[in-house]
Amino acid sequence: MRRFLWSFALLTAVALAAGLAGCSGGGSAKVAAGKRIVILTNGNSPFWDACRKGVSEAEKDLKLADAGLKAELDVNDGTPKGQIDKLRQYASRADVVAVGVSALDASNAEVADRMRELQAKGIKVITVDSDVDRDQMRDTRFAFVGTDNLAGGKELGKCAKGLRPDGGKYVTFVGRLGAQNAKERINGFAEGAGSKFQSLDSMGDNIDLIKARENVRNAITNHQAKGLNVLVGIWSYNAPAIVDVVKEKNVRDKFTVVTFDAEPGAIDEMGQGQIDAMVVQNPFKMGYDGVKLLKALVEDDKDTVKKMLPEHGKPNGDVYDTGLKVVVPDADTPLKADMFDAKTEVLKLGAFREWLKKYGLTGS
Amino acid sequence: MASDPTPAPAVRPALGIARFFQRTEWGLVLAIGVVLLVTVGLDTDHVYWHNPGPSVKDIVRQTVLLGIFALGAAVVIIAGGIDLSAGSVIAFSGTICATLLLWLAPDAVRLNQPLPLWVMTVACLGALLSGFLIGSLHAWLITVVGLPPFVATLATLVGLRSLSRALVAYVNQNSTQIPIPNREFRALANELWIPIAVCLALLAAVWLLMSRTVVGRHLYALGGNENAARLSGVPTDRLKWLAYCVSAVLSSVAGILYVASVAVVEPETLGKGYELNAIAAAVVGGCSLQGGIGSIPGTLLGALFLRVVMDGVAKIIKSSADVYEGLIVGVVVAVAVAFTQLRQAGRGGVRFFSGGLGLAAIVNLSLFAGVLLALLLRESELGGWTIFGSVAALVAVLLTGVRFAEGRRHKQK
Amino acid sequence: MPPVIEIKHVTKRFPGVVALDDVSVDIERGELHAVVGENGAGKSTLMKILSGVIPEHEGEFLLRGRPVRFAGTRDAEAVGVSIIHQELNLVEQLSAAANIFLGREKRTRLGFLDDAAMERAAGDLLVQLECSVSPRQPVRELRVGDQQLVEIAKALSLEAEILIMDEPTSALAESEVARLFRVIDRLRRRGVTILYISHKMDEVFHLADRITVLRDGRLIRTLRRADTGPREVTHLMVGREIENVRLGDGREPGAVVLEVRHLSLPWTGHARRWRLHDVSFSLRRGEIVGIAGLMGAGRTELLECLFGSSPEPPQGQILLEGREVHFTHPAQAKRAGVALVTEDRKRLGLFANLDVGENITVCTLREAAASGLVRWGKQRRMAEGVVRDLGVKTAGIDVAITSLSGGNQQKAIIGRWLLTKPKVLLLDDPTRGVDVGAKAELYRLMDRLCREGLGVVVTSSELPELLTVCDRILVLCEGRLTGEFGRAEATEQRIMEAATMRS
Repeated sequence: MRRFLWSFALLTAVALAAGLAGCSGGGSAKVAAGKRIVILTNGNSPFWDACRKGVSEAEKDLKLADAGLKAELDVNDGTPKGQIDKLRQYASRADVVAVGVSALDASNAEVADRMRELQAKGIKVITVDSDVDRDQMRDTRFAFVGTDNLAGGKELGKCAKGLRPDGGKYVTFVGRLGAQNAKERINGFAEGAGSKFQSLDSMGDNIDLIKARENVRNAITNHQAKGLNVLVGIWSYNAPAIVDVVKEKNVRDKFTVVTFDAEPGAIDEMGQGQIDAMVVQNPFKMGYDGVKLLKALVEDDKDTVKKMLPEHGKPNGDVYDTGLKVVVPDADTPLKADMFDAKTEVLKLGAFREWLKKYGLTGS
Repeated sequence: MASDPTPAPAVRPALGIARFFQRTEWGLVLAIGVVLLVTVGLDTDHVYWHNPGPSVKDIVRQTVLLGIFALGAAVVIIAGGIDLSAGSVIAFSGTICATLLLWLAPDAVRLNQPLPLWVMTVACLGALLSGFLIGSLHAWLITVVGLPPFVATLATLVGLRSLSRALVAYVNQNSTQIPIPNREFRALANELWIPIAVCLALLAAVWLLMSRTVVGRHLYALGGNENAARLSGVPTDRLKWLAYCVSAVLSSVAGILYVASVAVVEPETLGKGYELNAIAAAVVGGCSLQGGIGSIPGTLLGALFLRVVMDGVAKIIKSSADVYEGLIVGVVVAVAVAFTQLRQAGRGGVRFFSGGLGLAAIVNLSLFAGVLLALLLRESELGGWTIFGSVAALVAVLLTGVRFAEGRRHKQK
Repeated sequence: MPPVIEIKHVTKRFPGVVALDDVSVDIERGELHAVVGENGAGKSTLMKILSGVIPEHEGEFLLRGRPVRFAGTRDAEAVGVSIIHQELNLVEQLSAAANIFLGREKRTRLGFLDDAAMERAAGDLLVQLECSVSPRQPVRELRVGDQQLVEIAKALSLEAEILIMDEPTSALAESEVARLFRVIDRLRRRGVTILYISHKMDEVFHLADRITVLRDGRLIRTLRRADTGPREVTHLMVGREIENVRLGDGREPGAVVLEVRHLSLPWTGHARRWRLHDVSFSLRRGEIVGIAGLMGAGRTELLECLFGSSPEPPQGQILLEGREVHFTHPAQAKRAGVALVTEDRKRLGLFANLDVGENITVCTLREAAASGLVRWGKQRRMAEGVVRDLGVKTAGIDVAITSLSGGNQQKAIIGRWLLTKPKVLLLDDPTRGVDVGAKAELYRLMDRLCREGLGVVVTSSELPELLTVCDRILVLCEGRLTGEFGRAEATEQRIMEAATMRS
């Protein structure tokens, strides 16, 4: 019996040592003294691949290794508990010095508390991509790096208005109805589209790609008779989902398709005329500037912080906008630059592809 | 002829002290210690050593939550059944709890105002009641309708989550979740002593039930040999009712605490897949899925072991540890249970790598080791293919050596 | 004094069968009443009705003059009737004491289990039964004989006045049987009424005051032991005279087909270390070799070694037709021409879910298949051939195997293995649970197969059986070979001496 216990212990030790020695050995050569800047996502989608590019570009550009730092993207499983568990884990580790969170739910009180806890331990916290509730939880982060989603929604609404001047009826498709960016985009869309447009439904799919297609199918079946003619994709993967179903049902001529973000698939579809307009954020810049801001905070580099957020301390001075693009097909389109906000860049698809190529991106 | 028969067999039965020390629990305590030591050594920041506080808190929090419903899983397993529904019962009871909160005090929940104590009490009791009803439903499906436990609880596993989503959509204006921001409610999980106290109280109660009461003895008998139990006048159907109720009610307790700890009920994701963690904890803790064998403190230690391994992996790998979590937990569970099995069967002369299947196992393990190390060492200067090739080759050579040694030993006999 | 039990016109119908047909018996207080009959005669059904296991039946029975009807075993126990089942009904994972008090646990004043008290009481009971096991030992670690005594202790703990024993010796070694008989004697002196079910004549005539014979669910007759003899009772059971079988004359053994040299089978983690130690013998074509020995002597293990199904790999040499073989799986043994008919038919032999034909062809289905698909016609012909050849009494090859009597099930399984065209046939206690008439048929079948050139190894727990069919008898004791007797020299006396010869 004793022998069993000892052999058990020994084997466990050997197995774990063998399994893990390598990773800490190999990985730690560079990291040993390294402190980490972590960008924590809300879920998983190609959107974050572009962000990851930005993170590693910043790591190289800003010479993080020289400062004893390392930057990485940590992908959450799409659940609130996953995000909370990860934030707890950061708090119990010694190597995490700065965290950028893409809040899964804007008003989740527990996520907010965990972010406050991190700050209390001296860890720098910002939000990226999706902010926390700005009325009640602004204190949980130093700043927000991302897109003004309300503005983005407005621009998408203006696209719909430009494409259907007589108005119409629309359904919005999104991963999680509770996410702050989703709420803002949907509200923004209504505002930008104007009073001639009427919302028939908002459908959430919980980041289930199959469910996303089912939602589109159900929307067309249930609402076409009521005059549905605009399909709005709010999260990046909703675009290909909409296009797939529209093609499958062969109803392209009956619907205007406007979407958020530019997944690689969505870019191709626009090339084939399946999407009328896309409002594109800049996840690459979110990753890059997120790391840049966190590095400055960690090093107490006031100049850089000042440069990035000149208005910090004033209302909305803690929002760092990474900019918007409206992408339209190369073919003739009624959408013109003067319909949109002055800060928004309006690109033909070809020019947008050039831009992606420059940064080695496949989507945005 | 009349002489006493062969005084023969049997290893002298180990009784008393000796038997006490050969229990699975000691192996687990030892294994937990080993994992902690390994983590201290391999974690480049040595947080367990320098600043153990937050890690201990985190492990304890996760362990008590998992432990609570793993105890329920253990009771059912010991009684010879299986409960696959734990994860969905967590989601459902959480939903019931949140729904009651929202109905009884809509303003308090929506506007984050103080929540009256009676509202919280009613909501929690409602959740527990829902657990009791689900357990009764399981017992009815199994003992009266005659469904196998696997099917009955599989049905509720799928059904209850769906029902919870529909319920949430109904009570909260088509939303997929009900946020519960109230500090008083979240304190149930955030004041760490509360879940610890709940877990320890339940551990004591279930331990006492299973080891010191007639009902507990009968549950062991039921799992060991249902026929014999019935012929001995043991009320088997009533015991099953009890077992499935204990399991479902403990899952509801865990459900309430999980909701309190994430401040939101989201039936789509809450507790998804947790039933398997509970069963794994029970099995690692020494429960036999054939029934009749199992230990309550062992189950809690099993839960602790799983959480310590998961936390250790996170501490050592650091970036995106959860990607490897399932892999390592799977390996650990298989190894732990294989050890128990080998020990019980006393199969000294097993040949692990003989014949065609043994050959396939060598290929499997070599590839597995190669892929694993290539992935873990992806940041090193050596190319992934080099690492994969050399590790796989090394393991293959080693195991082939073992294969030959086994063959030789066999021949010598 | 009125009879303690009066059974009046009890009839029990199962779907399609009348298990008991208008049976009436009186049991006197304090007597040992044997109930005998072939398998399927209705003995067990009657006892299950008396003990409340089967609550539904026609007719009535009176206990101590009052009519009673039990809804379950608990009701029966409450009035002092308890039963010891043929298949042991114990929870293997629990201790002996916990099993003895299962369902009626002793409690402390606080309502918790009082293990100490139960272990004390269980210890006392076991001592009365000459059983030396610790009450704290899990039942799975006990030998079958001791498990049987735990069952009896359980019945005694109820202070039963009427004890029903359903073939209690079927799993016991002879020394354990002797111990059981001493226990029974002691119970009778205490005034316990015992209903003893058996089909072994020697036991019945050793113990019983009166004997009731059942056949095909009907009461044939109740006799005083003093007024009758085994011959008459057997005749009543079977319904015809059993001829005395004389077999084996003029058989001519041929070349050696199987040779075993220094075979040893280790027993890891066991005090005895060897299940079998240094066993050597040979078997010729056309020869039947018997293996005698007490329970646990290693008979089954020896056959398992020859068939490649032993729990651990054996050491030593096994030569089949002069070539050394190492079987690690029965599939290899089957290919090489060795067949084993296992001891525990229900658990290790029959596929209860398959019909007679499928049971017969299960080992040789590949031969009935063309390009991977089974040809039903060919399979049918194979099965029908066996049924005809061995005289299996069945309504057809597509009825459930469980509808056949024990003897015919056994023939079907032997037929299954004959289809593999074996050179060596291993039979592990083939007549266990087979009734008297069918036994003789099995003996004749063995004789015929042997004369056709097969080498046969057979084990049995009944010595007269081995003496009837075997050319030679090997005796095992504690895994060692302690005797070998030719047909002429073998007697029960000499075999028993060898079987109890300890080192």
